[in-house]
Amino acid sequence: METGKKEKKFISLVVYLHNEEYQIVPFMEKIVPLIDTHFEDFELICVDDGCTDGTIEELKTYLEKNNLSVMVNIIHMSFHHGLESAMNAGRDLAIGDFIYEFDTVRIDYSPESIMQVYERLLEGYDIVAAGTTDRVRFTSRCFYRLYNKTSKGKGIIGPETFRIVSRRAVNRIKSMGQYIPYRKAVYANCGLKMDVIYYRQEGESAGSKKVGTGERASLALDSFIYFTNVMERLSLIASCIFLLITVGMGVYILWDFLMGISIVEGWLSTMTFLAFGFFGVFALLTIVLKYLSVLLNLIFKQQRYLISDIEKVVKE
Amino acid sequence: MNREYDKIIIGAGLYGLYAALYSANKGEKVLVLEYDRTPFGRATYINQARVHMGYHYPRSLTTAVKSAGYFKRFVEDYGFCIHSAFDQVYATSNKFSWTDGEQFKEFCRAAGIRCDELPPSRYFKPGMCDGAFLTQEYTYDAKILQGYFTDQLKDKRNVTLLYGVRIGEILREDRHFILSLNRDEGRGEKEYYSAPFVLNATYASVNQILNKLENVEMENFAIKYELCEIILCEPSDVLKNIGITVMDGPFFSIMPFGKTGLHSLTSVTFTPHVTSYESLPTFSCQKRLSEKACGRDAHSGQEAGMVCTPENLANCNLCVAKPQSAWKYMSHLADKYLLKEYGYRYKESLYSMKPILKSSEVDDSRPTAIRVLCQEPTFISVLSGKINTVYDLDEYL
Repeated sequence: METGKKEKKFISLVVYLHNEEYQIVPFMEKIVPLIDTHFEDFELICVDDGCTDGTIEELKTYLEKNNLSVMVNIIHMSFHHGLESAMNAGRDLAIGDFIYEFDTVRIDYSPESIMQVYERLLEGYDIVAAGTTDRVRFTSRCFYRLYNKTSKGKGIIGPETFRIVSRRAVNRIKSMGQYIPYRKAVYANCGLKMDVIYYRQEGESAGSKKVGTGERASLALDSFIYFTNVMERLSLIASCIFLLITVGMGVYILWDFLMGISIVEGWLSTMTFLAFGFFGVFALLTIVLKYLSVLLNLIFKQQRYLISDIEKVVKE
Repeated sequence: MNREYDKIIIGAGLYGLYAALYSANKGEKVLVLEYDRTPFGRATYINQARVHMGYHYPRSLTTAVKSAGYFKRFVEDYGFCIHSAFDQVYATSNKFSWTDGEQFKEFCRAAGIRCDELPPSRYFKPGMCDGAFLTQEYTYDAKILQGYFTDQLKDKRNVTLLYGVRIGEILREDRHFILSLNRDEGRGEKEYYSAPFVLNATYASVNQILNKLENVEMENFAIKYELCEIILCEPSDVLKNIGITVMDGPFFSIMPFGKTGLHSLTSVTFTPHVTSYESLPTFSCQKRLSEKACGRDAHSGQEAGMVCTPENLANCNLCVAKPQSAWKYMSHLADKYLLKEYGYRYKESLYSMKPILKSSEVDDSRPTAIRVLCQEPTFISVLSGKINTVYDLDEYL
């Protein structure tokens, strides 16, 4: 990109913050001047997802000290919502032509990657992510492999650090009218062109160290239910197995009968069958219940996240 | 020299001139003092020009009901300046709104104001709004209203209007207030005027006038100040006869601006540029202005030698140090919601200072505050953000 010439597009930066008091200022110092040199107009939206440390104070001090000529909004979530809901709130507030989503303020990529995804986007993609394959944790790798194998849509997803999304993609997602439990998967399934740029990690890992295992597991499970047919297959396999056992038992009883063997001796096997049968019923019930809860979510829970305040910080 | 009047009214906005006409009709001798060279130069002209019916206050039923009550009276009295031949659409945003479509409908029913459901998809991009409603709300043309008041007052021999006045101090003496002032924007000689009744109808300068009081106990209004920008734009043919307001939170409004043929574009987030939480309006642009004035650029000054301080607020719209337009932000916000055919083009920006009562933030109410500081002699301050509640003044005049 030519230096000195600023892009006319209006850019929104959405940044996720959850207790990052030591990372927030270095992030701002790297990203804001970079965006400022490349774009004529941009806004910054910081999502305060229940920060309990000095993150927000650090951020405000930084903004005050640097006297930025940019609009900054801080969305204060009512309580800790987790990455996905909080970032949905951030994206919903953004007004830009293109929206950068920074899932973390930990920078393990070179600043050029930020402009690279933008340039890639201009080549005709609606969503461009930046990700790395270095040092991805084992469980994540398993998740992505299984997910991509079973996903109903075409999109392939992987570990991503930040991404840029076009207004068209955002509108598309809105008109699909769906709840967005997992942005990556929804973007991948929205039917618009998507691409990932891989970078080599520099310095400290950006890994989402703050996200609890429980949260990750629940997100993974939800994603499987929404976007893949793993659960359908599982229940199908389970049903098949139970069917086989039932048929096997039938054959066994028939054989006993034909051979004239006393039925009382088959007591043990009957009980085994019963136990298996009930187990099967309960397993199926679990899956059905999970589906029901998802349906409930889709239909009834209108307000996906709760914010307590939107605070405008600078800009005359 | 001490010229005596029955009433001295400070501020030639709608509230000031309304009070002047009202008192003059009673046969009283009235003096109106105005800082600017013209009446209606600030907030009366520079606002969304809504004749409020109450739709704006879904979280404050009292404000809504009161607005609705005065709406009819205002429209009857000043019908000549009202533009009503357009569809005023209120919509509730799907995200971030403090009120949703159902609640808005419920609220309108409670307030007894018109609210017909419309399909949001007629105006908005998919998923942006969960309710759209056709409402009954009009816009007034401040310039026409100004013409009416100046015409009416011109014929009144018992009314004196002084423009370009700088008030020095307001002294209480026995049963009178004595005002010392300079005319010709402070260049004239000191003059004295007295009256047993002073009305402070200066809106954003309400505390500034209160601070000029000598030997009277006074209390400032608890207000914050917002320097606001209203953008005037040329609407596309489709938008021409439609006004759209998205509520209730960080959204925007684009609606006809009186009878000018233009639309005003405002947004909750981007219209206020800077906020001052001091009791007197204190802004960094005041310093910038004085620096500019020192540099004395002959071509830039719409108002050469303008001085603006926390004690004497000048007219933001004529100022050379006003902030850069937030047009890009506001138009992006509106475009995010509106379908493409509802287009508009930038024409110009208007700036004005807006005081906001600090007590009204939670329920977003906009009460008309009228405070009687003392009686015999009487000193009354009025602070209101809506034109049609001007009738609240009647019982005090």
